[in-house]
Amino acid sequence: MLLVVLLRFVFPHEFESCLPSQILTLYAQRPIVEKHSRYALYHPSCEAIASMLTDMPYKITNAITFNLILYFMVNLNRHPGNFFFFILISFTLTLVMSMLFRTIASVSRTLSQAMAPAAVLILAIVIYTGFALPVPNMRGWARWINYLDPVAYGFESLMINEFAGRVFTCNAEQFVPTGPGYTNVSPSERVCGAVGAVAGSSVVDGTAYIESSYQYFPSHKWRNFGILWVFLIGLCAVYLVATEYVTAKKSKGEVLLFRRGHTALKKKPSNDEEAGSTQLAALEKGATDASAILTRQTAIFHWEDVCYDIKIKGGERRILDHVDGWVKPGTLTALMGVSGAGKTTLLDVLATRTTMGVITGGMLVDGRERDASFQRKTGYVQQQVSLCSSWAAPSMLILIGSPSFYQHRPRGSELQRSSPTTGKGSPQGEVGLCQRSHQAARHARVCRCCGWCTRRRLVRLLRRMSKS
Amino acid sequence: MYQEKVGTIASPNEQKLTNLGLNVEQRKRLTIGVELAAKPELLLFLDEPTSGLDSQTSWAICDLMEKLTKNGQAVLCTIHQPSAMLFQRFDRLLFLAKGGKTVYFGEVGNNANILTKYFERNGAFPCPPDANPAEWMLEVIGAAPGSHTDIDWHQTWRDSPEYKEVHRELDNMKEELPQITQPSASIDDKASYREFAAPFAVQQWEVAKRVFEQYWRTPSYIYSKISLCVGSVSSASVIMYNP
Repeated sequence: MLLVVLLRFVFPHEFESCLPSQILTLYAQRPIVEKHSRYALYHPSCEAIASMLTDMPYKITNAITFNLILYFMVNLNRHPGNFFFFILISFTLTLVMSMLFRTIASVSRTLSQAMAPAAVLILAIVIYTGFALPVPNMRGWARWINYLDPVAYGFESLMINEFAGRVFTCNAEQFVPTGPGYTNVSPSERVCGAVGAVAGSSVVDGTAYIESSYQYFPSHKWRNFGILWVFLIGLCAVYLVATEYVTAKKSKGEVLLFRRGHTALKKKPSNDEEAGSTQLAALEKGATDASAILTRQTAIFHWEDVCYDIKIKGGERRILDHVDGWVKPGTLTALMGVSGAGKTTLLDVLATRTTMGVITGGMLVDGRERDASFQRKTGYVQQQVSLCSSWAAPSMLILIGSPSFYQHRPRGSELQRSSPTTGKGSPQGEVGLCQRSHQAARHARVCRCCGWCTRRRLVRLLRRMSKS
Repeated sequence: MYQEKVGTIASPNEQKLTNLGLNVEQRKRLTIGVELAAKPELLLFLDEPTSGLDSQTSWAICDLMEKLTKNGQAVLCTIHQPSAMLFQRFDRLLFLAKGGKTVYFGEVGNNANILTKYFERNGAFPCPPDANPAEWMLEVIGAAPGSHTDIDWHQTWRDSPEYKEVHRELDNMKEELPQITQPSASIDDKASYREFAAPFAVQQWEVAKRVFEQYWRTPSYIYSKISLCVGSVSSASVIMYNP
């Protein structure tokens, strides 16, 4: 009966390969597909069919490699017919499950809306497959779940495939009665201690076993295959229709959650908070009296012969070539250049925010080498705005300029390095800095290209008009 | 789960930001403000503060930067093809050509005259009075679309008296500044050399508080978690119910 237990491994595999990836990929491409659909480039259902086809090579390869190993490792029924039926059913089941999750994703409007029912559904599907909770043990009021469970049909077919028509011999110690005092019981006076056993027989019929313990009947073998196809086609139809008519939830426009002057009811602020809020008020006013918050600087930051080399595709590439300069307090220095000249890279190098490459040259503060505190004595405002939507502007400022930090270090805090609000620790800030500008440019080009495609008809029309 | 949460906050997700309800300028100001709140006593780096903004808003951001510099803040900012008006507000310019090669580092001057003089002296066509010096400059070095130059501007810069002047100044700074200024921190004061200002426990406390607040303010997340727990537990109990 060991092989029954091993059959269970088939099903986690089905779920694993379908659930998260299907829903997540569908939601990842959804805004793009909807935009293209608005441009009248193609029907969303067309894209849906294409994505199903694209999945096929992977799914087929996966089904063959996984099931081949599993089938022979577990030593299931060694007959060609049974083997190919096993492959057929498990592959169909994969398709049905994938279609089920695609359908859930397409009828929902947000990712969280899709994930919650999917989680509950998986629970129901797993329990009502009919293995952990066999059909005879199912409660009457929940029996219907089993009827709606595609995996249940597939599992029944696989069980029939494995057991029907096979005869298993009973182990000597499994007979009842057995043991001391029963050594000379005649074969007709004992029974095998397994479900489906017949008194007086030393073998157990596989068909009888699955009938009595799971209520699986050999006549259902191919019927279930048909039912799986009904599921597949039905879900596919719902999926295609839903992609056409259900659109993802659009953002609801701008709503200011924390309005100026509207403070929540709260207890009188303590002294500490007051200190923070005066500072904040000064910040809020922009820089009308920036002197109140800014300590006048005296240190000069200067650098010379700064070079930056990185390895690209085996070759060395010089991104910065002997750059000199300084920034004196009270001056506004612009860093200009053609795109790809390394403006942002220089900024990153100077702010020691690079993660790779070799930097040479001197970067000094008042003629001295910089120490570890350099990073927190500089501020870096990134190009992308990375703010947290559930935070009011003042609380963000309070966190960074929190008085509690100043108590420890009057110089200022560097907590923002670890905090996501400022984005210093955000992934965009650290990965692929030198490529970012190129990528942005490429992205813009792609967007423009999409726009052009739809305008092509217009262009053609204009051309024809200009000819005539 | 925490990772996922932080990921959504940190990513410049358009949808998330629209919920923020601040307009582009306010957002930019807030980002600058957040950096200022940490009191950068040495330098403030700004990466393209005006990109994606209209001329009025970029003017406002420039106002902010100018106010900061007037109060003694040192600011280094990258800028992408500024308008003539915007360009004049910068004190100094570091101009890079392809490959990170310096083309110019020095004063911009009134009406960008110091800058234009340098380029004109080295063989550039004269800057038309109504032209935008920033764009003219790109055209001169052959970086603007359709433009072309025979002069190796990087080499020109290296041979120029301005370059020698810059290096003299840098050498001066290296020699003189350590003598006339105090080290930013005394050698004994280990704390000032630490990377983080606040100790780990303080960081932990503040960040934990913040994440809890984050959860509190995203009720949809809490609700979906509650409903998932209640739903799965009740369905399991109905399945297994034994009267």
